[in-house]
This record gives sequence, structure tokens and C-alpha cells, in this order.
Amino acid sequence: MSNSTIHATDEPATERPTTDEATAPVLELDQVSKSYGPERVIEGLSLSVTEGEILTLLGPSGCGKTTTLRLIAGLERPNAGEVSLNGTAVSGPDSFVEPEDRGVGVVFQEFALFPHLTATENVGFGLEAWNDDAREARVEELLDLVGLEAQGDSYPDELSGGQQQRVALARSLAPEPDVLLLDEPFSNLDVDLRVKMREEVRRILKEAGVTAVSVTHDQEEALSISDRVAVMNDGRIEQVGEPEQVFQQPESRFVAGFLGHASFLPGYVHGGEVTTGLGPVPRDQINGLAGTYDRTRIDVLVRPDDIRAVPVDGEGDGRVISRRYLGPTVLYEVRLDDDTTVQCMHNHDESIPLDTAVRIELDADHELAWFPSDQRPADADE
Amino acid sequence: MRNTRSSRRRVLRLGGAAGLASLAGCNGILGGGGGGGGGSEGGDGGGAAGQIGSGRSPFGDRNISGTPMAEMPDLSGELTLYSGRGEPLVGQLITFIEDLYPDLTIRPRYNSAAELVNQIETEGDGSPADVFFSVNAGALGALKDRERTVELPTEALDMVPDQFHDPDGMWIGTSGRARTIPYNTNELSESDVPDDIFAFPETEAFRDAIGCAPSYSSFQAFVTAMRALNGEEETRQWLDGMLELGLQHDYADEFLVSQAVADGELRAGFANHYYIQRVLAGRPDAPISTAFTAGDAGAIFNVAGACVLDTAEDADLASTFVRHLLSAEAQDYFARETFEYPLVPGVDPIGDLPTIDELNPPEDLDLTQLSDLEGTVDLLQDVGML
Amino acid sequence: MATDTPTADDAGDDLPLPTTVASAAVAAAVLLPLVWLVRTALDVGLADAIDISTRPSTVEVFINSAALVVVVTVASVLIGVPLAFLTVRTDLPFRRWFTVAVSLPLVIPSYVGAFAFVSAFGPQGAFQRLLAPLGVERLPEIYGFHGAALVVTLYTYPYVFITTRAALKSLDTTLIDAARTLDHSRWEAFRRVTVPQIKPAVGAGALLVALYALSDFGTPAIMQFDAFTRVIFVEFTSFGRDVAALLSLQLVAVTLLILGLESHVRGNEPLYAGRQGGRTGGTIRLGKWKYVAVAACLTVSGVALIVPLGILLSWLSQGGAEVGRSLAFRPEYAINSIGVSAGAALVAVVAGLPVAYLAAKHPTRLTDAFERATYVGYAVPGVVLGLALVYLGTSYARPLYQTIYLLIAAYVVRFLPQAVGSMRASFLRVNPALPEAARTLGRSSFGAFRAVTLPLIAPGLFGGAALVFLTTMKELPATLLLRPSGFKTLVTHIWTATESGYYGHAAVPALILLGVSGLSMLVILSQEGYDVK
Repeated sequence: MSNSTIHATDEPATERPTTDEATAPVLELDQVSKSYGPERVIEGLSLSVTEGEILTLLGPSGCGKTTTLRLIAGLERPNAGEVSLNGTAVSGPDSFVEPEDRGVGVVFQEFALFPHLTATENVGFGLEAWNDDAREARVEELLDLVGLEAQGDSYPDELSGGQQQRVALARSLAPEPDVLLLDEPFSNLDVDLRVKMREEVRRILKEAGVTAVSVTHDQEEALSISDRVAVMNDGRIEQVGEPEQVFQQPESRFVAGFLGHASFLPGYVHGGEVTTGLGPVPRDQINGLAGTYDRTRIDVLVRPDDIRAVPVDGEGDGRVISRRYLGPTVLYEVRLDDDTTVQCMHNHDESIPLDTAVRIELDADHELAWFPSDQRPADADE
Repeated sequence: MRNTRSSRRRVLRLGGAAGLASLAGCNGILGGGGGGGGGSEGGDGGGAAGQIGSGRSPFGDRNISGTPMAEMPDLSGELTLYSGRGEPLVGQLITFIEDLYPDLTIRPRYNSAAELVNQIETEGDGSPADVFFSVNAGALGALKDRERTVELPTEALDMVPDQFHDPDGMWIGTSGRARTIPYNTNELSESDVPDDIFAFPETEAFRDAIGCAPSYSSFQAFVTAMRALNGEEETRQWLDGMLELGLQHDYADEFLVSQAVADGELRAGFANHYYIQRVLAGRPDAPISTAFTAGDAGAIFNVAGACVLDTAEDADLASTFVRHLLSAEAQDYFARETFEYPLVPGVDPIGDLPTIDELNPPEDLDLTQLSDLEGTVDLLQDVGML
Repeated sequence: MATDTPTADDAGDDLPLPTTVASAAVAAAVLLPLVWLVRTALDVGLADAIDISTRPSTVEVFINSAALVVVVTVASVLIGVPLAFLTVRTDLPFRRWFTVAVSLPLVIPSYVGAFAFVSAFGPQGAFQRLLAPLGVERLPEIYGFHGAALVVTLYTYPYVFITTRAALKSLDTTLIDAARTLDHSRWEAFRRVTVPQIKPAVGAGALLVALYALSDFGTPAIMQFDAFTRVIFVEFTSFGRDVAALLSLQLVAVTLLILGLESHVRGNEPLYAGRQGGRTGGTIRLGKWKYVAVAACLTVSGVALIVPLGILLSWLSQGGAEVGRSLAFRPEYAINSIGVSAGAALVAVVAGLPVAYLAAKHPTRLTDAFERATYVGYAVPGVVLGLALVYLGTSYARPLYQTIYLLIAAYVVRFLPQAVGSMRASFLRVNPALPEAARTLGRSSFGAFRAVTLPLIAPGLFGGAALVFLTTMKELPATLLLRPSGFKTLVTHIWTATESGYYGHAAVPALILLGVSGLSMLVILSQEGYDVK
């Protein structure tokens, strides 16, 4: 999990709709639950997505994100709760609208292109009810949009992975769906292609003005293309918010640990500062530390790029116990005197040998998140 | 996959069309309807008795005697015939009769006699069958036992001697076959062949030079007759005795046995009478002749026959048809086509054979019992002949 | 969606109602003949039934049949699997030709094969006469168990060959590469990776072989082998229908046993490739073994094909005897055969579609039961099934009796599992994401099926139809019982000729039968979607 690109959004802020705009949600899930036999996969899940937004459901395998997607598409029926599209309930206790009537498009993980049809025929598949001219025009428009005008007559097995994905995208966009669902859309691609396609797809979605819900376990992907991220764990949404918010102000340890590297620094609150193994941290650098937490133990969340390890002679705060070379950066793991480990990220040209004594400097220009110590899970060791 | 898609569609269309065509009941169009599929080269018909089929007697011309069809009541309507006798034989006969009577349609069904009996049984009251025709008297007996036959009118029954129809008139024989001993005339004379079957194991002239076809049904019928007449023990002793004498039992059928006799490979054999005639038909100078035993299992005379079923729609039509099987033309036909013995007195068999009254089949033998072959098969397997 | 997450299809979600009803109707229809069997068998009476069933002779022939089934099945697997492997995964020369040649024995009716072998190798047979001058007294005995096992194996191993080929073709060879990098020799990789993957397909082919060996009437009769069917045959000829029905029920019981065994071997694991990746390449170089492989292919297909062809050609040269103008061959016999076989193939595919679909996509106990039910008709000997339909026809469907409709129904009851098996395998190969994608693009359930699933299972559909066509072409006993009067097919004509001893007249229809069936075999092979044709 690299942190390298989290701040690399260079779009103007206006392109990102915020939830406090007065737009009615296009998609809404209300206390949705789904079980398979005895296994409860999704519990009390609520979510709303506004028009034109790209929301990503992010979580580890098995957390229920794909199931959520299938519930939205109508490929599954919920056991409880309600799914609404444009204000109308489509899955609920009294009603169920079939997938073909929902106007929800899906891009499947393995693309699911129809092998017996050409790219053009695939893209035009959902336009059966249109008249021929309109369909032809629309297909052409979409193939242009995804940059595959020349590949119209190719069959899926003649196309590369990236091309197949673009056809899949074009196909699902063709019928002008209200919502587009993408299931791990980039996981079947090579890594470099992945990054490129992410940007492409975001561009296409924005250009088409489509509301999209994407599902992934790749947090880099989620953070880079989404307007909002919903982090899921074990069938529940732990936090929903803009990428920076979720990343910098995680509301739970899980979210903190899932996004980016996280080190938890034990500290003690008193007065205007928090005493930690790295020295005192000004209290106002900790986000929202209310008075009730005076004289309590907390864990402060520090990311690797918030701290630096400086080699010292003699005693420092700890010793370097591992280093991971990541290309442009190096990730060091330092064990502090109080036995906690923290990770620091340095440039690749700064080289600190193992077992060096180092002093840790806190170098964050933003507020730090924190969690009460008693929330620490029994086997915590970030 | 691309180019096979269109060819696949073509095949689908063709196959589907063929399938649909058959489902749409091209039964009548393609199936050829009733009647034998054979060419309709029926005989001259009308007036004096005509010849059925164009086959010529290999033994010279003969006059056809007996009651001609012209003297029988006309046939009209639809008749369903279940025949255990093969189509090549029956087909020509049917065509002749249908040509004779323009208002008559015959619907034949060919299968083995046993399966036809089973089918009639299974069909029950709903059976479309009117007449059953078989070379297997046991099948006729089986139908009688299961009360599926109706009594034939006396005009029919009177046409053949009493021993050739069922005592209760439930079926009637149409032609017969005699068990005989073919022998090679170069090696043996007629007097060399004993006329008591039980003398055979001691006849040195036959040592290692007499053959049979144990898997053939008529041979098995002969053994069954011996078991019925003389008991299991004596039959077993006879078989053992013959094996000790060097009985050659590897022949697949009795035509081959007869040919072997004519070739000199064997001196004698066991065969139905017509096989010898068949050999002679092909080779008029072959050194083979027919010998008979007298009054024992070796001389049994078995009949092919017909019966009218209780499910016959028009019993009169059915029984008149059966009479037609005993007409001069039909009897002559059986004699000429398969060299069988006609049962109607006055119609002679073909070839150098004694007339029917000159034969000495054993008495008191119920022919319908002869088709119970299972016990015989067991016995033959037991002594090592099968 | 990711294919390993549970889908709406698993976990006992509701079965689609119309399809289930259709499936149930089909299963019920093919089980109807059992009704007659049970009714007739009941006529026997309990004490007699027990007596007959436990009689030493009955037990003995039962063991005989069991031995035949086991030996034939094992032999078919031992022949079919290596040959399939050779033609799919190695660089065997003339692979296409060998694929066709090795499959062709299936077009030969086994009674023709048996007859040919006896004619050729029997004590009075052609070979005996050829070799007699050379002083060969007796050839090894062709009759009995060995001969019967040989003949049945030769004309049924193609079932295993064909199904195994299909599985090998869709095998992802990267799995084998993975095994080899994990220190497995080629043989070990085969054993631990390939075999489990092809086991279901081999099992499916072996099932058809086993049930055929169990129910074949003609071969044991001709080869004079006391199989169970021979006992049933004897009962029929002694007009003992009730005993024959009872014994047939025992056959059905054994069938259920064999079906149970096969269920264990096969699975319902989806066979589709998740990603567009995976490889099916990687041929193995044979090197010197090439000659051995070629010899093996030639021997097997040669013996199976040349013996009957040789006998037929010798009949042809005998010429037609002057007798029997009614034996002259007419093209309409071929048209009848083709028409009625095509009809049976069409109905079988339509009837089998819901059964195969449910069995593949909604595997539950119920849908499995429907699928298994179709095999019962396959295992019942043709003559027994024929009589069952005679009964049903005359009792409940008089207008249909002795029409081609009932005849086609008989064929469908008998050969449905061949269509179902082929279509089911095809359904398993369709990635469920595809019809789901179609639904998200606005197609109804049925629309998605029609536009996406159906074209993708076309190979299984056509392959299954061709297989039913081929086996219907050579069916005899039920045809004789149920055909309309005067309806003649190639097979009935062959039977008429041989019954009356006019072998010369049997040659032409027999050769035409083999020719037409051979063409349908090419269709079967081409529907694998790959090399041949």
C-alpha cells in the first residue's frame, strides 16, 4: 500500500460535488441486509449517492462490497432494507424491480463481453429497442468516447485486456443508465495499464456525467478516482467521505489501517500536550481532542510521511528494524523504546542502515487523528 | 467460430426441417403405405389359378392344383396382418392378393413371431391385428392359450387334413416342413440310413461324418420333440452317443449342413427338407438326397400357420384371407418359393420328395409344444453341443 | 461479478418456475414406461418373483452381465482416454484423421459389429476359411465372454473418447505448468492436476458405455454369451412377458446403482474460464513414441471399422439373389431413417434443454433427480421399452399408436440422456456473468437466455442432437414394434434381408447407414469448436 499518489489530484475543486449540495440522491440504500444461508454478508447498510458522483466501496475481500453491488443491480434480493433509484423503491419489502428494468449498468470484473458478438454488437446490445440509425449513432459515439472507433468489428478474443475493458465500459454506458456499477474494474489489468485506465475511466465517466459506484479492494484506486469513498468491513460501512477526509481523519482503526500505512503512537493526554514516545505533541495538532479525554491514554495515528527518522549517535527514540525499498521512496520501520513500531517514509536517496539508532521527528502539516487506547483490539500491533 | 455460425444455422435449418417434416406426419407420403414394399409383379390373376411371383420352379414346370382363389369369396376392406414370416416371402403373396381385389388393403407388420405375440398380448383389446401368420406353431399355440384366437370356419378347416390344424379350430397350418436326413449319394445309399433315429449312434457309416446345426431352431425343435416323446434321459443318451460317434456340431445353419453333405465334407446330416432342395436348385447334379426316419422325433412334421385374432374388426374378412393362404396359388407359391410342403391334398411338393401322405411323422405330438426351447437349450449346453 | 461469490443461482434460491415445470414434465414422461414395467412385473406374484430373482441361473447371468459391464467400461476408459489425450495434447501426425477414424466405430450398430466378428472369426467364418489351407485348425474362440466384451468395447469406447476430448480441450494448461514447476513430473502432473479435471467428463462417457453394455440385447445373443439381457430375451421368446418385465426392473435397479456411482465421480464444478486468459496450448512432443501412438490408433480404429466394412463389402460382392424384388433397396428407406432420426434429435434437444439447464445452473437434489431420470430410459433394453410404449399407446393414446409420433417418443425416451449430457456440459461452460450482463442491459431472463446463453451452448446443442440422430439411425427393436405399417427404414430393411438370409441385399442399406451416420459423427466432432473441420 503506497501513499505516493494520494495527493496527486489536480482537478479543480468544482468537479467534485459535495454532499451538502441540495441534490436528491440518485441511489439510496436504507438498512439493507443480505444473508446467504446462515452467513450474514451485509448488515444494516445505508448509503446514498448523488447525481454525477463517483463513489467507491472500498474494503477487503469478503467484506460484502460485491454483494452490495449486486443488490443495487437487482441481481440479488435483499433480506431486509430498501434500495431506491431516483426516489423509487426498486428492492424492498413490497417491491422488486427486475435488473432489466432498473436502468442500472454494470461493468463486470472479468468484463463479461459476449464472445459471439463483435465489439460493435456488444456495445449495441442494450439498445435493442432503439431504431437502427439511433443505435448506430450511439454505438459510434461511445466507441469514440472510449477510443476504439477502429475496433468495432473485432471479437473480444481479438482485443487486449485494456481494450476489452473499454468495450465493457462503452457497452454499459450505451443505454444511458442512471447509475453505473463497476466491479473491481481494473483488477484484471496489468499494473501500469491499471493506473492509466483508472484515469481514462474517470475521465469518461465525468464526461458522460454518469453516476457511478465502483467496488475495489485497491485503496490507491479508490482514493484516486472517487469523489467519495465508503470503507466497508464485514458487511458494514465504517466510514463514508471524501478521500482526503477518510484518509486523514479515519473514524476507526480499521479505516485507518486499511488506507495507507498506519502507525499508532501511544500517548497520554494532559494539559496542552500529549506525551508520546517521540516527545510531546501539541494538543491542537490532534484533531478534535475534547476535554473529556484529559488524563487518558490515546493512540495517535501517524502515517509514514508524517514522521522522519534521523540517525543519531548513542541513544535515540528507537532503532531501525527493517527497510523496504519502494522505488522512489523507502519505508523504514523503527522500533521505539516502548516497543511500538512506527513506519517512516523517506526519499530513495536517503539510506539508513539497519539497526541504526534514530530519533523520530514529527513532521506533519495537518492535524493528526487519534483513537482512545481502550479501543485497541486485543491483538493490535499496527 | 464465426464461419461455423452460419453453417451451423444452415445445418440447424436443414435438420430442423427434416425433423419437422417427419413430425408433420409424412408417414403416408414417405412410408409407402400398406402392402408389401415389393414390386407389384403379381401374377395373371383371374380365371384359372395364376402363378404368384415370377420365380420358376427349378425342377421343371408343374400344374397348379387345388382350389383357386377365384373360387373363394371376394375380399374387401382393410386387413391388418401380423406376420412372423419374412417380407420377401409374404410380400409377394400380399401384392398378388391385393391386385386381385381392388377394394382390399392389407397392412402388414413384420417382426419375429415371439415379439409379435408379445405385442398382441400387450396391445390387449386395443390391438389392430386381424390375422397372425407364423412359421412357429408354438406362437400360434401361445395365442390360443391366451384366448386371443377365434375359431376358424369349417370351410377353412376342411381344406387341410385334421392333423394340420388345431383340434379346436383355433389355427390352421398353411405349409409344412419335415425333418429329414440329407445324405451324400456317392458315399451312402438310402438303405444305409436307418429309419429309427435311435439307431443312429450305432451306425458306423456315420462316424465323424454326420453334421448338425445345434443353434438352429428347427434342430432344437427336433430335440424338444425327442424329449417330449422319449423323455429327458433317453434324449441325453442319444446326444452323448452321437457326440461319441463324432457328430460335427459347428455348423451355423442347416443350409450349410446340407451344402457340406453335397460337397462330400459330410456323409449325412440333420436338416429341414427344403434345405436339400435349395442345394439341388443351385446344383441340380449334386450328390445329395433325402432320407426319412419313421414314427420318431427325427421325422417330425412341423407346420407354419395362421389364425384369426379376437380383435379382428371383420372376422369374416380375416378368415377368408386365411382361406386364401390355402388356395392353389398360395400353396404352389409356398412350394416354389421356399420348397415347403403344401398342406392341401393334391398339391405336390416340389422336387423329388414323397407326398405328404407318404410321410411318417410321430403320432400324438402336439406341435405347439415344440417352441419351448429353453429346456432343450439347457440340455444341449449341458452335453457340450452349444 | 467475481465468479467465486455466491450468486443467485446457488444456495437454494427459488428455481425458475416454468423451467422447473417443463423439466418435471420431461422427467415424468420418460419415466412413464416404468409404469408398464412395474404393472407387468407385478403379474408375476411375489413368491415367484423372489424365486426367479434368486435362482442360481439368474444370479449367474447377473454376475455375467456385471462382469461384462465392468470389463467393457474399464476397457473403454483405457482405450478412450489415452487416445483422447493423444489427439488433443500431443503432436500426433494426422491428428484430424485419427480423431475421425477413432470416433467412427460409434456409427456401427453393435449387432452389425457382432455379426461381422462372428462371420469373420467364427468357426465357419471368413478367416477360418482363409487360414485353413495354412493349417490353422481353429481360431481362438470368438463366442462367449471375451468376444462379447471385445465387440461391445469396440463399438462404445468412442463415447469416452468424445467426452474426454471435450474436457481436455477446455483444460487450462497453465495449471499443469504450475504443477510442473512444483516439482511434478509430467506423469504426476497428469495424475494430480489433469485427471481430477477430466474425471467428470470421463465419468459421463463411461456412464453411457456402462449402461449400453448393460442393456445391449443383440451382441450377447449373437456372441452366445449368457448376459442378463439374454435371459430377458429367452423369456420373451417363451412369451413370458411378466418375467421379462421383472428382470428388466432388475436392470433398472442396477442402472440406478451405476448412476449413483457416476454421481460421485462427476461434479457440478463450473468449467468456465473466469478471465479471458488461461492457455489451452502446450502440445507434448512424442518423439519416437509417435510410431507407437500411430500404431495404436490404427489398430483400434482399424479392427473396429475394417471387420464390419469388410463383411459388408463381401456381402455386396455376393450380389442380390434373384429372389425378393421386395428386397430391392429404395431411397425412401434412407429418407425415412433420416427423417425420423432428425425428428427424434429435434425433440430430444427441445425436451432436454430445461433439464440440462436446471441441472447445470441450479443444481439441487430435485433438478439432479430430473437429470438422472432421463438415464433410466437409456438403460432399458429397446424391446422392453418398445412394449411399454405399445401398452401406453394402445391404452391411453390410440390415435398415436403405430404412428411416427409414438416412434419418435420412444427414441427420445431412449436417447434423451445423450442430449442432456452434452447440453449440460455446455451450460457449465457458460460464465454466469454473461447472462447477468445481458440482464443489466435490458433483456428479460428469457431474452438473456435467447440472445446470450443459447448461442454459447450451440456446440452442446448440436453435438447432442447429432449424437441422438446417430443412435436413432441404428435403433432396431423399438422400431420394429412401433413403426407404422409399411414404414421402412434402413435398419428395418437390413433386418428383413438378414432375417431371410439374403445378405447381399443388406449390404447397400448398411453402407448407406454407415455413411449417413458418419456424416453426423463429423458434426459431433466439429461442434467441439476447434480443429476438426
